Amino acid sequence: MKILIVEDEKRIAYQLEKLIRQILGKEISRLNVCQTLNAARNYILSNTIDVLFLDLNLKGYDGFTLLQEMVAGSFHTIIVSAYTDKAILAFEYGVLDFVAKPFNKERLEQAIARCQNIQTHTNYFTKHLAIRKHGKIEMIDIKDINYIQAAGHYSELHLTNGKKELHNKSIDKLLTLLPSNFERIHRSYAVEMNKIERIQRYPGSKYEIILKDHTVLPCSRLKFKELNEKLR
Amino acid sequence: MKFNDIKDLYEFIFKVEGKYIKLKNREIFTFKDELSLNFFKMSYTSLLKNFVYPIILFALLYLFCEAIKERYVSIYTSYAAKTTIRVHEGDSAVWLQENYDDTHWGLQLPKAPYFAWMRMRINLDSNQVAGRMLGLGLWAYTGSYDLYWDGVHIGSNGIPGIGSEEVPGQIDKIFSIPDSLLTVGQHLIAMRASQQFSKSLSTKPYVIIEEYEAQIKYLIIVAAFIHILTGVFLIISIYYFFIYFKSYRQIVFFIFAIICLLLFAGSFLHYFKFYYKYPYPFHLIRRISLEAIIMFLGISLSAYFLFLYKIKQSRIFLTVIAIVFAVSFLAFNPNGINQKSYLLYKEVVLISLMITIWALVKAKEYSRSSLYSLIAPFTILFFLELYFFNLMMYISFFIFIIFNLYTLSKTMGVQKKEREKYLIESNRLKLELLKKNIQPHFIMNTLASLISWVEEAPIIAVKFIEALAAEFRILVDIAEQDKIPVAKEIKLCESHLKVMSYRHEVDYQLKCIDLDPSLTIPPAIFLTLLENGITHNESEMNKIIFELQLEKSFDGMTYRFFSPSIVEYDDEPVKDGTGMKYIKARLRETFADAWSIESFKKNNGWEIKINLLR
Repeated sequence: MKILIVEDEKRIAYQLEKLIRQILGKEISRLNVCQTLNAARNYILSNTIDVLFLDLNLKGYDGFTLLQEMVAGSFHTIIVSAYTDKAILAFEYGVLDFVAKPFNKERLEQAIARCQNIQTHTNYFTKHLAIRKHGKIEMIDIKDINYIQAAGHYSELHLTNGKKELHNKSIDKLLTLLPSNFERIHRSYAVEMNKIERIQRYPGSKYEIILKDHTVLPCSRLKFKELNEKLR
Repeated sequence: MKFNDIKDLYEFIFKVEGKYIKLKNREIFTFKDELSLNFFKMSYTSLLKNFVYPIILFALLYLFCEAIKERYVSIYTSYAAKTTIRVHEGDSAVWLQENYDDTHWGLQLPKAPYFAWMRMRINLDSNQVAGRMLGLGLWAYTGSYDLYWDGVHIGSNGIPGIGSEEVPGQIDKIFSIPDSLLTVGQHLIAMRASQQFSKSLSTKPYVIIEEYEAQIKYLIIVAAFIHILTGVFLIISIYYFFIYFKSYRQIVFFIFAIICLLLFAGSFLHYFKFYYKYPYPFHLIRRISLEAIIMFLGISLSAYFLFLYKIKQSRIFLTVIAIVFAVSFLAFNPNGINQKSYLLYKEVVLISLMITIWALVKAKEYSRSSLYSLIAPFTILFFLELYFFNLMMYISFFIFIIFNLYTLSKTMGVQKKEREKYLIESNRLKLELLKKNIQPHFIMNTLASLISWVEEAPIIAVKFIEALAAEFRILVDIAEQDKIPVAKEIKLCESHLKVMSYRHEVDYQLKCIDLDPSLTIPPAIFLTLLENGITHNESEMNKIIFELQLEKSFDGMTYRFFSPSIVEYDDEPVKDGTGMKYIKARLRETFADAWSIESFKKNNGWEIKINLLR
C-alpha cells in the first residue's frame, strides 16, 4: 500500500507515521510525508498512491481547495484534522473517513480497515464527486448520475443529461464512497436504484436492466436475485 | 402608459421635450422599483443642492443687504462725507470766527501728538430745523476738544491741551444744539482739539446731525439687538465646552466652543461702546483686540473645518494658515480705520470657503451643510466698506453658527452610533483574543503532538505542558485589558513560541530590537503577527528568528515585524484574514485614526510595519 501523509506539524506527522507503520507493518510499500501543499501536489503528480492522510487546515489555507483536488484523484482520502465541525462537509465531498485530532491507534486502525476491505458504502454523506476536467476540478452532484461504468482503472459517469464524465477512481473505490442506493448490477456497471424502470429477463439466464430513460444495461445473474428483492 | 424601468422613462422624457419635463399624469409613474426613481431624482437634486440652492441663497442674502443698505444710508447719513473738515495746527481765537477764511487750511490731521483746529461748514434746511431738537454727534474721534457752533461754545469733550495737560475725551459724543442757534442756512462747526495719547492712531470725527433722541435711541436699539446674539454665542460656547469636557471628547466641539467664545468677545467688544463711552486712548487697544479676535477666529474656523472633514495632514495646513493670519495681522498696517479687520475678515471667509469647496469636491461628509453655513459670511464680503458691515458680520456669523449646530448635532448622532458599535466591537475583540488560543483546533493540534511527546519523551512533554500553561496564564491575565505593556506582550509571544517550538520541532525565536517595555499596546497584536508568520512559514529550517523593532520618529513610532522565509505569497501577504482583521480592529479601537499598517516583501520574507502617530 502506498501512503502519503500531508501534515505541517512535524510531531503529529511523526506520530501518524509511527502508528500507521505499526498497523500496516509490511503491507506498506511506500510511505511519504509532505509538509506543504505544493510539496503534496508535486508528489501526487509524479507518484501513484493508494491512501492520502490529509490535514484539513494546511498552513492557513482553506484545505477544501486541496480537498476538491485530492478527492478527484484515484486514491482514497482520509482527513486527519482538528476541525471536527468540518467533518460532514468533508464527507459530502467524498472522503473515506474523518479522523479527529488528537487521534489514537484504534481510530486509525478503523480508518485503514475501511480502505482495505472492499466493503461498499462506508460513507453515507457523499453528495458530490469531484472530477478533473481540462486541468480543472469540477463537482458533479451524485443525483445527476444515471449509472457508472467501469473503464479499466477509471470509471465513466453517465449523467442524466446524456453527458459522460471520466472519474479517476475505480468503480470499486467509487462504490465505497457512494451512498447505498447505488447498486452494483454487473462487473462493470453500477446504477442508482431509483433510476431503474424494470428488469428484463431473457431465456438462458440473461438479464437486462432498463432504466427510466430507456438505457439498457446488462445485469449479472448473481445480482439479479438481490435486486429483484430490493425492487419489490 | 407604463414604464418598466428607468431607461424607458428617460427615453420618453427626452423624446417628448428633449429635456426634463414634469409628468403630471400620475399613472405614468408605475415603476417596478422605487430605487430607480430615487436615483433619477438624485442626479438633479445633487446638482441643485451643491450649486443652485447655494447660489439662490447667496442672491437672496445679497438682495436683502442691498435693500437694507439703502435704508441704513437714509437713516444714518454720515455728514462727514458731505462736508469738508479743514485742519490747521496751532491755536488762535480768530479761528472760531464764522467769517474767517480757512480755504488755505489742509485736509489731513497732523501726526499725534498735536494741538489743532478743525472747521467745517454745514447747511440746514427748513425740514431739519422745524420744531426739532437736533443733536450733533461727533463719532470715533480720537482726541479732546471744545466745540463751537457759529462761534458759540456749545460743549466740550475732555479738556484739550498740550502734553499731560490734556484730559482725554470720550470716543463718541453727542451734543444737543441750542434752539437759539438752529436756523436755516449755513453754519460753522469749529473744534479746538488736541490728541496727546494713542500716537499711532489719529482719525477725524464722523459728523452726524440728526434728532438728538433718535441718535441716542438708535445706539441702544443696535446694542440691545447685538447683545442678544452676544448672549447666544456665549451660551453655545459654554454648552460646547461642557460637551467637549464631559461627554464627547472630539476636537471639533472644542474648536466650535472657541469660535463661539471669540464671536461673543468680538460682538461685545464691538458694541459695548454704544452705551459705554470710554476715553479715546482705549480705542487703539479695542481696535487691536478686535483685529486679534478676527485673526483667531480665522485660525479656529480653518481648524474647525480641517478637523470636521478629517483632512489628512491637517496640522501642516493649519500651521500654514496660522502663519498667513499672523503675518497679515502683524505686517499689514493700512491707513483706513477698519482696513486691517476687513482684510482679516476676507481671509477668514475665503480660506474657510476654499477648504469647504475642496471638501465638497472630495465628497467629504458634512461639507454641504458647511457650504450653506458660509454663504452668509461670504455675501457680506460685498458690503465690506459700508457702515453696517460690523452688524451684518455678527448676524451672518449667527447664521453660520445655526447651520453648524445642525452639522454638529449630526456628527453627535454618528458618534453615538460609533460608540455603541465600539462597545460591541470591544467586547467582541476580548472574546476573539480568548478564542484565539483556546479555540478547539489549537488545543486539539497541541494535544495531538503532546501525545507523541508523552510516548517518546515524557520529560519534554512536561516542559511542553508547562509552556502551554504559561501561555494560557498570560492570556487569561490580559483578556480583559484594552492595552498592555509591551513587556507583557513579548512574554506572551515568547511563551507561544515555546509551545510552537515543541509542536513543530523548530526553534522559533523572537529578536527584539530597541523595544521600550514601558510603552503600551493593544493585547495580542504581535502575537497575531507571530501566528501568521508561523502559519505561512514554508521553510524547512530548524531555526527561525522573527524580528520586532521599534523606530521612533518625530511624528510617532513604527513597529517593524519581520517574518523570514514566507514563500507562498506572491504579492499581498496582508490579506484581511481573521488575524489582520483582529489587529486592525484593535488598533482602531485604541488609536482611532492615528495608525496605519503596511507590508512588503523583504529579503526572502515579509515585513509588516505598524505606524502609530503621535
